[in-house]
Amino acid sequence: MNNFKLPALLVLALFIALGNGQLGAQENEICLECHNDPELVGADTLYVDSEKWTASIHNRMELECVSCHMDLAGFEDWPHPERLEKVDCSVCHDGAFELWQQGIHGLPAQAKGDLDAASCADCHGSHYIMAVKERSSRVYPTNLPHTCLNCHGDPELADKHEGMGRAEVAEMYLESVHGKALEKSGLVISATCLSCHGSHNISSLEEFYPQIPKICGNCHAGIYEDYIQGVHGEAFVKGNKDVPLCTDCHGEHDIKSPDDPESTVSPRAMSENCSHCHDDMSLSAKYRLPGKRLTSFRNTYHGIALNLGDIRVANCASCHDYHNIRPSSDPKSTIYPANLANTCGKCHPNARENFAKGKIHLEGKLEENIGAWLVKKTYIVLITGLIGSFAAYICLDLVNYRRRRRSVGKNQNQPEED
Amino acid sequence: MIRRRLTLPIFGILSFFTILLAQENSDCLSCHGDPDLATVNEQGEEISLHVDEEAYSGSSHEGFLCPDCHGDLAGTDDSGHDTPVAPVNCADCHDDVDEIFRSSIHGQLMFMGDTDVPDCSSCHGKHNIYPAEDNRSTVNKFNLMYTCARCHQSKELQEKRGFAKPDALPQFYESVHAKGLMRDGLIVAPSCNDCHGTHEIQNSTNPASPIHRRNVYKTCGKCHTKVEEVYEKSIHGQLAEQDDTRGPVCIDCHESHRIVSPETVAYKQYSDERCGNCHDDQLERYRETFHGKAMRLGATEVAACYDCHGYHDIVASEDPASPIHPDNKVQTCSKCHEHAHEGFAGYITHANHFDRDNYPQLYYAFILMTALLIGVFFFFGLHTSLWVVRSVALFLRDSKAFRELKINVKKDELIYTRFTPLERLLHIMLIISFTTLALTGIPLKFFYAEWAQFLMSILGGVEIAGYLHRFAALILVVVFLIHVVVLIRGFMPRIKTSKDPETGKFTLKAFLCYLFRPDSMMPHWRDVKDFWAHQKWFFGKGPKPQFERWTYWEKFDYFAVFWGVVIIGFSGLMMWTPATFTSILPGWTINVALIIHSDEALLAAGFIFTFHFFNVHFRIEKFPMDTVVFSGKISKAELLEERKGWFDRLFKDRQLETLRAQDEWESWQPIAKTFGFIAFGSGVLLALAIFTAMLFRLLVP
Amino acid sequence: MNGKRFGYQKRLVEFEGKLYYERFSKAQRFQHLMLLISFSLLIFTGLPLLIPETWIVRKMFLFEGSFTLRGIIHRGAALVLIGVSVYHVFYCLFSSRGNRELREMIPTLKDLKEPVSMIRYNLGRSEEYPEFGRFNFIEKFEYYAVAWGSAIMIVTGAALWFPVSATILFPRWVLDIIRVIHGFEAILAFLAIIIWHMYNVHFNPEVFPMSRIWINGRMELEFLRHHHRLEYERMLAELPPDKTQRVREQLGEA
Repeated sequence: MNNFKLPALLVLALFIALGNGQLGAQENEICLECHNDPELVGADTLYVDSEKWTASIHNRMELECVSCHMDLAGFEDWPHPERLEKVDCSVCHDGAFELWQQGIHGLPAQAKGDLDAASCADCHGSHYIMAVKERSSRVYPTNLPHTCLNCHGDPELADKHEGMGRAEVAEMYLESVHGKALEKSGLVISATCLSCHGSHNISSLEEFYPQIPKICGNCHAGIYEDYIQGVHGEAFVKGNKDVPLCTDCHGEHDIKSPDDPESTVSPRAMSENCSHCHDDMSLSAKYRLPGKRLTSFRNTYHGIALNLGDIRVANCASCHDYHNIRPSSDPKSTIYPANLANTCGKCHPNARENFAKGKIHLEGKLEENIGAWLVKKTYIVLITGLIGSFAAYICLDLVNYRRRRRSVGKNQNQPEED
Repeated sequence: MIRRRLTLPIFGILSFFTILLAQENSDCLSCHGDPDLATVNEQGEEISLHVDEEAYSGSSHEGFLCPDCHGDLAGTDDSGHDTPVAPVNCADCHDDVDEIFRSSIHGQLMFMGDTDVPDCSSCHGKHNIYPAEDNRSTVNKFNLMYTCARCHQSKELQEKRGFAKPDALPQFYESVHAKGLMRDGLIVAPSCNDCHGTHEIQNSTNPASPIHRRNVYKTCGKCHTKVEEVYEKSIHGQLAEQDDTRGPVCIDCHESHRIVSPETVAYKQYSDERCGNCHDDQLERYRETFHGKAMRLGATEVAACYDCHGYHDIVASEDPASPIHPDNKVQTCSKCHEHAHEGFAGYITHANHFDRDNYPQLYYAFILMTALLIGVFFFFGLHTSLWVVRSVALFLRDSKAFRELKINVKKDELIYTRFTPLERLLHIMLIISFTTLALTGIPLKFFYAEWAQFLMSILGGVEIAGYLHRFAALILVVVFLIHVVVLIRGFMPRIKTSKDPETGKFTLKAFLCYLFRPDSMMPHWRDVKDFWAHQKWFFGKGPKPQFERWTYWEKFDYFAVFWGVVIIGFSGLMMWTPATFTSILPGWTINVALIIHSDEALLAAGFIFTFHFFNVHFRIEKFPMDTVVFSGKISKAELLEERKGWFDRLFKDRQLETLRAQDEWESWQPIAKTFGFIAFGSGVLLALAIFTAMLFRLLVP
Repeated sequence: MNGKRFGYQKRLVEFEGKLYYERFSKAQRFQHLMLLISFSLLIFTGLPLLIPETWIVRKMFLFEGSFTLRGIIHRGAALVLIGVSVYHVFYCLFSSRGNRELREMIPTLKDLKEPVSMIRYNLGRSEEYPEFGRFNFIEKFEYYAVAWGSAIMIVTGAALWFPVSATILFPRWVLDIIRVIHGFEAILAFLAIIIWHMYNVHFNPEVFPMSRIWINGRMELEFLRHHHRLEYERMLAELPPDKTQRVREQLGEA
């Protein structure tokens, strides 16, 4: 291929040398003269579409080819070597480069020379880079998920690198409230990959996880404030690893609106969601919390009705609040004894203090409500006894009837009632 | 911003000099720190002169000295000042903002001398100014609407100035934007400023305003970028781009302040009317189809305009990209109707049965049904009115005899059976299913009436009404089948007798004889004679005819129901499983089926609820109700009065005694047993379910 | 015993030339029908709450809003039950026939002896079928079970219907006890009806497949003589001689 091109390039170089007299200030047109010609350089990697290049941010910033391909600066001996040095973006974008070096994409590339990890061009493109805020940019919110999917949607790569997000994640995202906002409502302010994971310095999961509430709080600022005031947030700030973060209740990539029946925090699903921790014996024991909150909820009318599809009845959050959850000992808590009447009153207007007296979660234990326990046991004994005697009596009656029928059959003349 | 960075050191230096003058904030605060410090203005209102030191010290202007803003007080010593201070001029520092503000609607009015418009402090506060990002700021995203509300929700100002949208804020609170902002605490959700702008705010009539009609979609597109891109290419967007008022912009469909999520039921419910604002003729015809009717009655699972036409990406139907382009129709239908196919998509979605040129099949079906409807109603209307007139005349002429006859008829001791228990049961089932069908079906025909909507809401919505309708239809089919089986079983023993005794062959004559026997419902020559005699009687030109077992109007009733069930049943089945039928028949047959089904149903309901009721129950001699179809019994006197022909025949054939009322438990037994065992079986099953459930609970703690 | 007080003349009814003993008047049959309808509805809409996890109950509430409908039907049926109970109380206290029936219902020492003699008979220890009055011990037991059960269910149900008002009177943990009572009483009532009552009126071989007395109110004289011997004798004692003669003729005694 090169042999074929060589004479042409020589002619070109001669022509330019004659025309300009000198080659000190290489202009982009000189490079494009060859690189814009698919026949000359082939249609793939070496090809540069001059139109697209003209539209790119680098051209508009009046950069020249050699601003990036610096090893060709001042080059005069055409044709230039086949292998050029890798373009070093950090010459200009040193800040972004430093961040990238610290991130999960940059680290392996630095340490192990892993070329699979994304570098600048993998996300931003090479010649046709647009400004981040421009709609045709590969990292513009509406395009970003697809850009990330270039690697993360590749099963071969995912198999090769442990812990790498897979394509399913992207599918989950597109079905989520964030994805729908982006795709359906066309909302570019919706959360995309980088809103949570960051852009250049994407961190490993271990570093990422403790950041979650703050990351969500970047947009959900009001919720974040509620959350850190609550018992979960308070412990989170102190570094507790067991407390639920946003994602533990709402999901990660597949976050749905709480109004969506499929959401993990929809009225019907809520109790099961909270039960992951509050029906867990080991966690209950560790923090001395009352356990079996789900089963004890399902024993109440609220639990039964909710389970059978009446979503107007109280779920966990109706009484305990959503984000600002506090223990019953906290005077600000919705379930602080003095506030209970008020909390119940949200649904049961005019509820008074008496209305809140007594256990809400029912486990059917003796100490919980002695009266109820006694009544229950009494009824069980009574029912078993009564039904047992009914059954016995009926059996007796039937046996006797049969016996008498037989004896009547023997003496046909005898009247039946004897 | 840059300016502020520069001014800070300059003021720092200046303040250094002022310190030399020994005037410090603490000097001012020694008096103004007192929360009770106040004065009275010219209008006699008390004005607090208190400055909260704590609020000030955390504010944006912390570090500035009082005279930096209150310049006229520079140099005042600590003995105090009694002159009212001059207004603070923020433009001294914020001159760039001031320039923008002057061109805004607020600024322009202000410089025209309007005292109602806000100045800097109205929005930003005075001593407690914070950066907008700080959630203590009055112009912080989460607080801004309350700040704007101070004027724009003030009743006084609303009345005085006549704001164009006085309900803008309450409407905003209902919107999906406010939900995001206030409920979900989403900082990216828009507050007032995101659409209206801040200092540069303009009227919507101003072409420079971001909420000017031409700019609306760009303003929304700041966040909804992808929608904007799609919309721009749509037929609506192109029209709007050309300043054509026919092109709707975002707020025409979504409203400006009360923007609800399009996924909500509320949005879908009103979406057809929103499209109908411009496409009113299409809306009208959409409402002639099941989709439109059900939508109007509150269904949510039916197709709205946008389900078929698309929304932001809407294009003309000729465009191959349109979902209603002939090539895409099947796919569009199959979004909801899983088994849609070419024939199914031939259904006419905006059918107009008044349009003879485009939809002749619908037109003629409609004309035929209407003619039938009018014909039947006219004929029976006349018949019934004549009858009423005659009855009333007889009653008035000799009401005593009339009443006596009525009482005698009831008193008679000799009772005969007119309907067997099975017939009575079938009639009861027919009543139940017919009433249910009418209650759940007729509202669809009169979807626009308020009572129809009320009825649907009582029934629990169109979906549940649909289930009930189908269920009742099944009952009706069962009734019909039982009746047919009974008819066939009645004929079975006659097969032998209808055979020619010599050849052993089945003869048509014998069959016809059986079919048209006097006990049969088949029309007979006698009926014509009866009819004529009855007409004569109406005019007093002859005696009351002596009817046989069935009168001619009863036969008409019977056949109306018989064929009605067949026709309504078949057309109903077509609409129940349209995909199956349209795989053989063209799609428009479903439209025809709807016309036939609905008009035939109207005929049936109208006939039953007026003429049948009159003929049977409301005749003066039977009023208020003839219970024979429930009791099955008829007295001898009544039999002689009404059906003498039958009585005479029975008497002649010596059949009368077989019809004498007797204990009919034997006939009831199979019916009662069926009911009893179904009820009992379900009870036992439930008992078993309880036992197992309780057992499991006891065994598995 | 004053014969006139029992009004047996009216109780002896003729139908198609045969004499019958009118066991239940129309008013009583109406009450029973109302009770039957409301009881079935209450059971059908109430029991699922006690077994919410079972497959059949999940199927029952497949539709959106069906659980709400369940509540409405349950309360409506409860109103019917309350109505018929109130009517029954007035009927027993103020109508002459109801009053007489109520007196017959008063428990006596004989009611304790009856089951003993019945069991003896069933065990074959005695060849004599016990002699019962108008209401035997089974019927009395059922009546009081229903009366007592209805009273409990109405009172506890009302408290559960209006929990806010109820808790003015007592703390909410009492309401939890009430809920347990309402539930178990319902199970008891349901099982008593489905086993005990159904056996006595449907599956007892002597009446199988169903005793029709609840529909037409008529009891055959043979049945009366065998199962309610004392009542039969008391009736004969009160009836005028011509009627007595007819009864005896019909039973082939004369």
